[in-house]
Amino acid sequence: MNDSIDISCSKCVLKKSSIFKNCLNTDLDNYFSEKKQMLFTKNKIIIRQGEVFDGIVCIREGVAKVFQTKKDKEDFIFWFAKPGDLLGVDSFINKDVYSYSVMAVESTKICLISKNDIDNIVKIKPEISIEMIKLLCERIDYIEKRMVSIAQKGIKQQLAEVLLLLSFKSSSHANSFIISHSVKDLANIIGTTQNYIYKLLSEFSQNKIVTTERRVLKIIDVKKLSKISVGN
Amino acid sequence: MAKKIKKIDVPRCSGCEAFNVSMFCSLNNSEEENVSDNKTHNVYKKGQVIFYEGHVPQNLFCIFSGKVKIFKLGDDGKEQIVRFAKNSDIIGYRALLSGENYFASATAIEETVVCSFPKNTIDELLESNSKFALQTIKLLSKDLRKAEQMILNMAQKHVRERIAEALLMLKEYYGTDSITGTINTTLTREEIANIAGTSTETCIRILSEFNRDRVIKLIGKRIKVASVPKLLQIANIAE
Repeated sequence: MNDSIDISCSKCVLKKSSIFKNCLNTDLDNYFSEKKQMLFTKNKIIIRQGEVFDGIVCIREGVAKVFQTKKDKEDFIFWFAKPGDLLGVDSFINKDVYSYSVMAVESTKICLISKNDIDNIVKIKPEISIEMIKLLCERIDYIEKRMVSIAQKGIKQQLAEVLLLLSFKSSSHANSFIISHSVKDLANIIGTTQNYIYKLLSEFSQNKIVTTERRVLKIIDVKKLSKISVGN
Repeated sequence: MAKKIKKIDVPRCSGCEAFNVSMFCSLNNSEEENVSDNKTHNVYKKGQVIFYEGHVPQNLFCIFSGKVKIFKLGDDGKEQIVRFAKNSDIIGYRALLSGENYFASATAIEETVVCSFPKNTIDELLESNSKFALQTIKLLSKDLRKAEQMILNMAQKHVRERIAEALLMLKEYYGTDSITGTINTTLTREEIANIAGTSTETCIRILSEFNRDRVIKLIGKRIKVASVPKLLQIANIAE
């Protein structure tokens, strides 16, 4: 079966940048005996907030949004997960529920590492827990930075900041990224309305900072955009 | 004329309240001995800085007594409080563990005694004691969820709701004075505004609204929650 070769971690290009980078290839393939690969089409839920921890999800291909839903409120997007990002690490120790939902923004391939597998490897390879610590530190740092922006910045500054953040994340083109069903997502990442985002985007494109063509948003003037993001 | 510095003694780690509730609970006797031998402690006055955002961490701090605010500065230098800490809490550990500079600053909001542990002691523990690392992950997971909750509220709730929630959070975290019933901490109006992410003026206005509506009682700088159900209702907390 070709499938089993395809999903082995030793063949994965993402391994060297992940928390498993210090593990031997053979170790990973041996320990992750229950690993599954799954494909989610656009708008399919990968992880549902409130469900009991089932394992750690590794994004192999595609983009997924990580968000929380509250009753009577719009979703709030924390960040976008790209290939190599791990989800569910914060639920792994307590084996409690996932604190957020994850939805495929485009067609997304994931690997699911079962909780047994991850438990076993952490017991034997303590260096993984140190990498997990680093990963969680980064996540908290990112959230706290966004917290300061949300509390102190205007919507226009925040939109500029979010566009810059997203553009650095996309690897395919230098200064452009694809926003599929995006205006709503952009609104939900900042916590504002779609109308306001429309208005600001057209203002940006009038000032020749971005262009919007069909569903591709391209940043032309990074300098101006970063100036706006710090309030100048 | 040398001013006399108040001397405060702290127990060894094994005799400390913080030992069993922090990640140090995973240490065995000899490790505990080593950690206790290497620790030092300092007294911080109200307003004194324990560490600065952007500086290189040298120590892990554990609060023996007192209260601390952890905050980040925005682009124009305005404070945003991201967390509070009190006795038995460990602070400044994230930067230390991930090898980065401090993500935020910490300042004592009342007289605070802090024990500090040198970086190499902690690094050794992380490498030799896998339970210590797992306990750290546990702590980080909890902090991540708290941060997620805070940012969500910030983005989706109104200022009134956020201030009500900040008051409830402070009450739960610090407890109330047994005689007066006020929240056991004195924060300035500006600091409360910096938790809720609003201006000091708005914060003052909303607090006096709450006072007028008998939801809270303002006693000088101190605040007493007069009606928890009403405050819960304003904060829009369903659970």
